[in-house]
Amino acid sequence: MTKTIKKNLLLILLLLIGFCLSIFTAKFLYEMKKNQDILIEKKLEKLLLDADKEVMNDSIQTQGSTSYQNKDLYLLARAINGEARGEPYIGQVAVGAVIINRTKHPGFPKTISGVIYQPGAFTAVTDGQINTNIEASAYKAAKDALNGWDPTNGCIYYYNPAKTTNKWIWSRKVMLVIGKHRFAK
Amino acid sequence: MSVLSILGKYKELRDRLKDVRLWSIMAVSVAIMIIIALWGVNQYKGKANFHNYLTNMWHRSFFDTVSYVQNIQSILSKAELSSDRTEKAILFSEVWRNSFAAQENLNQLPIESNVALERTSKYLTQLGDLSFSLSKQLMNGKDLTASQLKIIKKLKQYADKLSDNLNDLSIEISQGKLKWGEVRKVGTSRFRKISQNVTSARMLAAESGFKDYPTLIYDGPFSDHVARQKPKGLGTKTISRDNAKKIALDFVNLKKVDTINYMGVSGDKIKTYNFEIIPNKNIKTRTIDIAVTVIGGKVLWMIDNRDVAAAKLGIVNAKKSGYNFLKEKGFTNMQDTYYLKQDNTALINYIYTQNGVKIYPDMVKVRVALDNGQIVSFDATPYYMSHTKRTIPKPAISESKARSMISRNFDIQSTSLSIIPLPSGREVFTYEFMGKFDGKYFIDYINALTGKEENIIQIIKDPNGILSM
Repeated sequence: MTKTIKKNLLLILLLLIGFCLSIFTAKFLYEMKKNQDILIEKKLEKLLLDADKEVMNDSIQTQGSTSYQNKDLYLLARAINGEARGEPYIGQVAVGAVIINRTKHPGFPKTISGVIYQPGAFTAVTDGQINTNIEASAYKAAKDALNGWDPTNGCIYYYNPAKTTNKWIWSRKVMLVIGKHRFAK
Repeated sequence: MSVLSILGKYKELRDRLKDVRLWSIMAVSVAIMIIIALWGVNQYKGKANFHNYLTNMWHRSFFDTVSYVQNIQSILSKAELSSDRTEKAILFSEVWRNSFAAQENLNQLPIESNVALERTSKYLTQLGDLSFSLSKQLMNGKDLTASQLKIIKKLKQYADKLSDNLNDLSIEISQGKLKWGEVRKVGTSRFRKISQNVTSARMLAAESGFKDYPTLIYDGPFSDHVARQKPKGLGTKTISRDNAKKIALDFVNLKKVDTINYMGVSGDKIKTYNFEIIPNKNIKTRTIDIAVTVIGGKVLWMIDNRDVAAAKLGIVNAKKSGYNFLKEKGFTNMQDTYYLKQDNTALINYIYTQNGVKIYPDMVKVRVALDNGQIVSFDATPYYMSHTKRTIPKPAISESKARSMISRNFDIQSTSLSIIPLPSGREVFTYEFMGKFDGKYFIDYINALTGKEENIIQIIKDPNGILSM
């Protein structure tokens, strides 16, 4: 036994080194990709920051009895972008309206940030899609929603029937369907 | 053949390596392994740190919720016992503070589909809202009525139940029997997620105690009656879908419409037929969505998402085209108030006036494209919810009397009469004093019948618009 080990010691060592080297190459490749991602992320961040500045230069978004601030516009646009990219424009306004309707409903947090960041409330927040690049239509939709347009007529839920695994949400009464989303009370 | 050649090369290599000291190779590989091990330990530690941090935050939220609910319990008992009106008012404002704090912390908990805690959350909000309005009532010198006392007694029972449930949970959590962790489990198999969701299940069980929760009606924004208000301005006539389609097309008044799609009926307070109009098939980005009420056949809202070119019109012309548009659609006696310019459009709020009295609840919002004056968005929901023929009383107190109620530092510049909505939806008849304070513009509303100050709003003027806050 020891004899065979001794005889093949070099082979075993070579295998070990090969194994270690492969791990290191993998790690190296991973780091390289990560650095690339970080670079892209930085670029995105800069773009977002520029977009943010543009919004901040706008005046404060307050209308009649509703009073929401610019930070809300930015956050709402990001939430709409994360949740309803690629949906029809009216569907994007509707998602924004649901978030605003929740702030006025007794069963939910009272601020836009509170509603959006409520744990488990929106999948786009949980999986980080809320932080992706914002499309122009999301800003437009967020402005319409903040200014009081509500295509859902007071809905406080929506879900994508193809994706949701949550049985509880199916029990809510569906009020309308826009694109892939069902809106419910 | 190739295998043999590889073996040959291996033998050659072994011969050559005989000169190298084996222990140095071993030392190098051991060092590499140690580095990898350290790296792994470090990663694990980082992850554990994050996990601990999150768990601590969740525990804090949970235990805060528990203590706020316990506070509510004891303060409500004190309020029932107390015989002094001022003391009662103070106690109710304490309930208000504690229940909003409890609600806020409850909504921080990492429960899968946290929205399922809606009823518990609603209970806490309404309890706080009700306590606030009772506190106001007591400060105004009005005692609690028998029915109000009954409601409080009932709400206190819910607080007891909730507190008991939360207490049981908190013991199990302190002993480490229950753990938060659903948020971390995203991505693992669905079955495991369900079986490990013990904490969620327990929280939802606590929620089930609210099944026979009463309907609460009081003077606050979260009262149940606010969500149940019925439209006053729509009439009674039900119209057909074809009729609604005609109304929608008349409303947008376009030379060319390629398609009009029926999107179904929606809404419950106001039911609407929804249509999607595509004016030109070749311009895919432009759609017009429009909702026509089933009862009354009125256009409730419209959104045209066309791209607006560079602004050519000023705000004066925009207000004019908005006014003309409303007149054409049958809205008479409308007056523009606040406006906001954004993205080459002007959003203008118009309100109804009756004999010179501004009726703020009857509001229509119009968005004018500043390239050609076309109306790109329209929303008359507030108008149809509240518009009705009102009998406006004569002011019971004179303007100078109302003026004397206001702070002397307020430099009044204009006065008018108006009807404003309170957060609870109730309307009050007021004197509206607009003026300057500390270099900023404000409007102070004094009740024209009782002299009570009903609301103060701040006006923001800047190159892009005049807004209220």
